[in-house]
Amino acid sequence: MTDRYPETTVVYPARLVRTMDPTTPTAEAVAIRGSRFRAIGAVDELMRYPNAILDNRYSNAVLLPGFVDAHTHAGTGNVWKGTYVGFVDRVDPRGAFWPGCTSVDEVVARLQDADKRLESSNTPLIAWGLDPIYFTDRALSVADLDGVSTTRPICVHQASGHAYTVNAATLTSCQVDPSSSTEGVMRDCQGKLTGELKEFAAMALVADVASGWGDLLSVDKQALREFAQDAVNTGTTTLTDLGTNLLMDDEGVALYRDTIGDTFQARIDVFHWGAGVGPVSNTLAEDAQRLAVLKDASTDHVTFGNVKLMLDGTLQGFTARLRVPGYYGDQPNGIWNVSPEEFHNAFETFHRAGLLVHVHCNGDQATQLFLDTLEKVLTAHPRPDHRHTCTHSQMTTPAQYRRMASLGACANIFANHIWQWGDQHLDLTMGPDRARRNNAAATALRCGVPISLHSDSPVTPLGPLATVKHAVTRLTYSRRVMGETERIGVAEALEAMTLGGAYMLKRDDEIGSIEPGKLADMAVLADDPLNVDPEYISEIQVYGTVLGGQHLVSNVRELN
Amino acid sequence: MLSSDVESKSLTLVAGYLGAGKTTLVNRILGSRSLRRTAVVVNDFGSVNIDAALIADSGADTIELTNGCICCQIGDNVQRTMSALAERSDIDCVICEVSGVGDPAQLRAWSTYPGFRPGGVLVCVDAVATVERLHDEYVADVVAAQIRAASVLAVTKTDVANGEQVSLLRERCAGIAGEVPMFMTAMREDHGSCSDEFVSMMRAITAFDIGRRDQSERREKYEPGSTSQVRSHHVATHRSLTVTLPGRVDIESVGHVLTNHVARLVRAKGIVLSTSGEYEVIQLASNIVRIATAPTGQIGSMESYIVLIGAGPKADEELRLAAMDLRGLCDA
Repeated sequence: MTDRYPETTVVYPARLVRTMDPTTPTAEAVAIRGSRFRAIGAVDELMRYPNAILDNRYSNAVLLPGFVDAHTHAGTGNVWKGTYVGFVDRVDPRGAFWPGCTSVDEVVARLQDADKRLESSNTPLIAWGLDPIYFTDRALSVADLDGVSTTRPICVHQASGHAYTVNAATLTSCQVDPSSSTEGVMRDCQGKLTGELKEFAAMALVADVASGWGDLLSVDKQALREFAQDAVNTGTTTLTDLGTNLLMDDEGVALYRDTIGDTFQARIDVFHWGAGVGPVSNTLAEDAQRLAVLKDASTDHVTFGNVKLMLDGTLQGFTARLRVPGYYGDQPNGIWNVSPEEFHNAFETFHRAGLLVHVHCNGDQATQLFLDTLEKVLTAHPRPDHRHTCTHSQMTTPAQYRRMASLGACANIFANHIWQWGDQHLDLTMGPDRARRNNAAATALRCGVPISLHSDSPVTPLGPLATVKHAVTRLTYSRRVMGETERIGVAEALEAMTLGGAYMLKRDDEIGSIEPGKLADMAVLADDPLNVDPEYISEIQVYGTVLGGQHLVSNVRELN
Repeated sequence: MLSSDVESKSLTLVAGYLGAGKTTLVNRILGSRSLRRTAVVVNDFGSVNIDAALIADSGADTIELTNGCICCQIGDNVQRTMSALAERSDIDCVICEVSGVGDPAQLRAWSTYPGFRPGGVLVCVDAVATVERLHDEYVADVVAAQIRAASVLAVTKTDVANGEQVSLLRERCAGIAGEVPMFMTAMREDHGSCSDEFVSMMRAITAFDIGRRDQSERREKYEPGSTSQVRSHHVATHRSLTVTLPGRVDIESVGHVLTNHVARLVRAKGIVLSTSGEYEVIQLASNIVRIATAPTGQIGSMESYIVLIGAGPKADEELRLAAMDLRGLCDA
């Protein structure tokens, strides 16, 4: 074999290597040849390998396997075309830090600043990330936005994607009559417009101003590149696009293939969106065959063939499907994005074609349907080691986790919700008891269900270290502990965030841990997560990543 | 932006669970000869069955038919499809298909968008499967919400269901939706030209106040199997009967007939071509008959018709008598 490998073997000593491989849990150094690990161990052992040279660049760093976030959206790159006005802190793909706007006044201040920076006085100011659930005493209104500008149209996209808040200039330029009788044009108790436009009919009234901002479903070359930089900045080496409708067209496939080449700065697993957005395809069997062919043409960097199905909505939007006892305030049950019959048909078709399916289930009724359907599909068409996954899995119960284990399914748990909406779940959506039981990673592990954890970026910011911290501490934004019995250990959370993600993407033979023969993907950190207070895991500086032996540097400007 | 010269188009939603007959109904409408200047919005062209001979022009998301109708596919952008339709002046009426698990209440907001006015909600319910669905752990509340949103119910597959199934379904629907006209129909693909059935349903919709049911009622939670929800103060099954009258009719006499039957009729409403040549709307509600000039933009050019609603155990007989008296006006 040696004649095929003229490349050198580079030995990288580190302060510490954590491998996620129980055979060799820690080491002094890694040896990389080409794009793969050749060996792991002590520096002098590794230097005895043929053609070995020493590279000390990481000698002060802590090396972990590159993180795998198995539920993210490639449109993350595109949302930053607008001004961020969300509640939580974020770092944009250019490395700039954006503090969260934790009050209406802070939203206004952010917009005033953005208004000054815009060159032309006519360009609409588009903002994103506003979630009214955080502002219980005072909502952002047309008057607040008029305080930013009375001449420039302003449109703030709400995080749910189902509403805007606009200023008077927008209403005027779109000829929205103050006496408009369109449902969704919201008014206060004096009958005056509040500036809020809810649901698609009212939103359509200002389409001329609002359009041109890409949401998480839109993707282009630039968005993909920025997404990859986001990955480097957070120590993530494998991401997903969960999902896209573009793969049924050759042009769409080409967009991903041409952009995600050998030097692309992350690996992206591109899922086909098979149900839950628009009508289900009439040509499922052909679609499945096409995906099977695309799967074979996957590369190390871009993978095709997996399928995403979306059952219900969100907890914080009250659109998730719940079993009894339901929402905290007895709000009506949420919505199905696809009927049970069509879901079964789609799931069965993709399963029979040998494909991997991840199903979005936020509410426990959605999880129940996932399990019932999976059982029917497996009974009719047994297939070993399928690893179909319940993703989000927020309200999954112990009984449901037990069933999941017996059916061979995995759970990708939305741990970031604990922090970003935990207070709202405790107080508004789920109630104090139910909220404590949500995102039950400890239960899942106890039941033997393979798990991972995710951000659903851009819904919550990409940041595996923060995700680990949320799963371990279960602290909400206001520092309440949302269910201490569901806390998991740091080691378990790190494993979920590396090997766990790789396993449910069926790529654990190639990524997720530092072992000989695997792709040389690593997160390069300033500190060891197992050696700091769990609350500070999210503060550990990420220097960058190693992707298939390539060295990639974070562009985040570090704050103290 | 919409010019104020464009008249508003009625927007009617067609909803109902999978297999309840929505697609068949949509295909009927598209093939119909009596519905002109109508746009039909579907989720997916794949499900419609348009006779090739009827196609005048076709684009990516819109098909223009020789009978003056348009078929649009919703595509990625509901907003774009609906707002483009709102601006057209070559159609009078838009019929929009709601997805199988969709809540008609969501799409209904479009009927208040500039260029549209409410045209009611027609909900198809499958005579064979619906009662069971109303107890299904996953979709009971969805199906109940569809029924509750209806201005008109089309009970389909009555040729396949047995009498018991049909009457049990009628009872359930009445319990959920109250006093809503129900049309019994086989709604089969191979049934002859039954577009008249649809026209009758559309008339029944225009004959009733769309917004009369309070928004707050609609958000009640429905629990499968809970009998207390099924029982309501509208326990009695309502029956309806549509009477069509040829030629011109003396509207005052129609009013007298209705007044005579006030004790037996719960409600009545119709559009009548009066002897003066004008279309007039006549209504009976709360025991009072009212007559007014009909708004423009009604469907096609029609015969006069009146929809009668009765209740109670003798409803059928009472409706028959009222109908007889009305028809008698034309024989004179």
